[in-house]
Amino acid sequence: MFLIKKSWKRWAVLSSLAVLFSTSPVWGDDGGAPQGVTEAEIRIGHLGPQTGPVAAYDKIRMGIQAYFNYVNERGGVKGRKLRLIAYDDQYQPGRTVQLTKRLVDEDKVYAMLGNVCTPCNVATRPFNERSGIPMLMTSSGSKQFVEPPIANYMGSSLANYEFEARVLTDYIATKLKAKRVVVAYQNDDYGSPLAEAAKDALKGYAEVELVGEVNFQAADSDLSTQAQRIRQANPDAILAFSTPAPAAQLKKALYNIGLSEPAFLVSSVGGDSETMFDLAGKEVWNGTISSAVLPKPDQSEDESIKQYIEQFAKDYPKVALADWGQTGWAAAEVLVEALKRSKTLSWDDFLSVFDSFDNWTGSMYAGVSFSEENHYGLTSMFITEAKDGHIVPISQPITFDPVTGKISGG
Amino acid sequence: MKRIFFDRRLYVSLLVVLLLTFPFLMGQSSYFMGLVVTMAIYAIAAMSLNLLTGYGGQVSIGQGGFLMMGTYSTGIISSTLGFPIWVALPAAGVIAALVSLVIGLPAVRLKGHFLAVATLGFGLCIPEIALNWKSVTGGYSGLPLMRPEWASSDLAFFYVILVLTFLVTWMLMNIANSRLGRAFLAIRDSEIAAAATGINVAGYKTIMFMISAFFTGLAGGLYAYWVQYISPNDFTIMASFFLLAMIVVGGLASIWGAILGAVLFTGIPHFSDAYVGVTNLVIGVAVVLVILFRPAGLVSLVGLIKPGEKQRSRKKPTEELPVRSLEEADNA
Repeated sequence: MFLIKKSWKRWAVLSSLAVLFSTSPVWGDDGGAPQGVTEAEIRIGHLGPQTGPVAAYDKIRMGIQAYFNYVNERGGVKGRKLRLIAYDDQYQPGRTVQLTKRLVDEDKVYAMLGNVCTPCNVATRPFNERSGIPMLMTSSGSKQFVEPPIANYMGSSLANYEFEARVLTDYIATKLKAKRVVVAYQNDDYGSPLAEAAKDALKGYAEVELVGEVNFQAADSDLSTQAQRIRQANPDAILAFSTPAPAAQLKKALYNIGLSEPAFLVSSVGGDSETMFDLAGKEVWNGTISSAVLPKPDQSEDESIKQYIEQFAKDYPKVALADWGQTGWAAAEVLVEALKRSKTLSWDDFLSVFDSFDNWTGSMYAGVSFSEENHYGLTSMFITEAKDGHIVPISQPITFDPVTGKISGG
Repeated sequence: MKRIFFDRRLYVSLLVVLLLTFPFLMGQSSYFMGLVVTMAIYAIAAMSLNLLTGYGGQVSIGQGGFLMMGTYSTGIISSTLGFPIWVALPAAGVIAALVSLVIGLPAVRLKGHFLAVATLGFGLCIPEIALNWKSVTGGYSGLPLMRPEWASSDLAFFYVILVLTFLVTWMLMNIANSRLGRAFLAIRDSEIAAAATGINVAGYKTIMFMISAFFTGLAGGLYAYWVQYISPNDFTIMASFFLLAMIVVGGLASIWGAILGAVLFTGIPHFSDAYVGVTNLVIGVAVVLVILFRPAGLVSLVGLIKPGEKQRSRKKPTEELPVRSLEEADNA
């Protein structure tokens, strides 16, 4: 048996002395300047999946990096270069917790930007609130990071789930005049909260009936069973909350059983991309209604979009321009604007300047607003329709007021 | 002098003291404490898997499922039902062991790749159950978990995990070197021969599954308390593959090999995370190189420098292990 014998005591004492005398402690930082800011650079952290089944979100990091390159090539911010430190959390909250500590405690980043994955952000929230690190433009549409406002959480780079669900249900009820609705959703941290929000929103329209709901997994490649169940429900409109691949599979499955009559609406994550025509087929995807917070690169004369196209194509020539790269770029634009507005760059001063954003239009977003009660930042979106291989806007910007809860425009 | 240099006790003592003083050497860095904690948790899980696969010859690709069961059992017992940590942690192990009994009873009739596929199914289905059984697991939202007041700081809980890791290592070493461990080795080498010597093959296989699952469930519980959040995204099937890779790279049928594999695989990302996509590549290359050049695992490298061990380290694992276990049994 492996038991503790007397001779072990001698070794324990000897090794204790060896360890104590052969190492020196690592002391904390020097204080003074804000964490992550030196004369030469400002360090910004980002966490998201770079590998694995949801590695597509890594384009957010690329978008941030591209904008940092763009700014650095023009002298940086306040004479300092922006440096992005990003790690792969593989969409696993446990890894996110560990890597957050690395970014905040070891890399000493100034702020975090565009961190991906709702449960990962939920897992790190207690640590971030304790540390006070500015958490900017979190890449989750979940309400819990912005409502009620948290002192060091500013904005979301995605449309708020509840806002998006309400906009789409309102479109079904008031514009499409649909009476029977089926909600189809991806059963995970993305699709489920949207579906819950949509079901809640539908209760506000007495003439609209929820006649069925189906769910699926992100990795499902055959959704014919769900399509059959939808047909049995006989809806006027199908409201889907999904990532791109299953959204395409669902529309294809519906098309294959001849169910092309009901209006098909899908959330921005699953519908706001022209690659959907490749995934589902041009004829199948035509007519799909979706929402978007950012204009397509080929459909806007916006200066920010032009800069993005040029820089992103230079930095990542093999990566498609549309989608998540724009999200990262737009989030980085908000960060840089706040850095410019901050006088001392202390965390308190930096976080307070966000209140001065009043429908700021200097970024790719239609407008960015913050106030003491509004930490959403992004409160505008518009409706799109898939037409002949393109996603085209079919509404004016629709705006959500977080204080009153009212939706206007469109 | 030479005798002192090659004395294993010196290194074990050094390691223990280094770990105990580690938080202070690193300025109480939460990140570095987290790194060691992750190593310790994976070491427990890898040692448990090594007992099953390395010593017992039962290939399991579902160990990540037991880790996840441990996290959820702890979360539900502690957060939802309100039991204290000293109930939640052992209960996590017991629940995992009981589930392994249900799986183990039919699985003991399976061998080799059939058993691997059965356990793979288990590893795949647990995250799906966690995701869909929303009323109990919280589904995609996960479960938050609070540490007890006395262990609420990272520093305090670091020592809880460290002490439990020492304890589990000591227990698993004793199991591996006991009559039970020798029976596992006998079953691995030849079930027919083992049965002929009076070993109840099915019974011992079931015990093997249960012990392995118990400690893996315990490791999951410790992880849940450390992270303080439980999600169906942690410990997917990839975790099962990583655990298997840890014991193959570290050394099959070796407690130290499992620890080495866990330390290596948990430590590699610290150096490679800053480079996009490099971590998995490095781990993949490490597995291939070790299988090609050191099939007995990295722990066999000790034999290259330690006098009298060279001969042994060159042998293939299947030839080597029974010899080693008997030697150690004699020493004990």
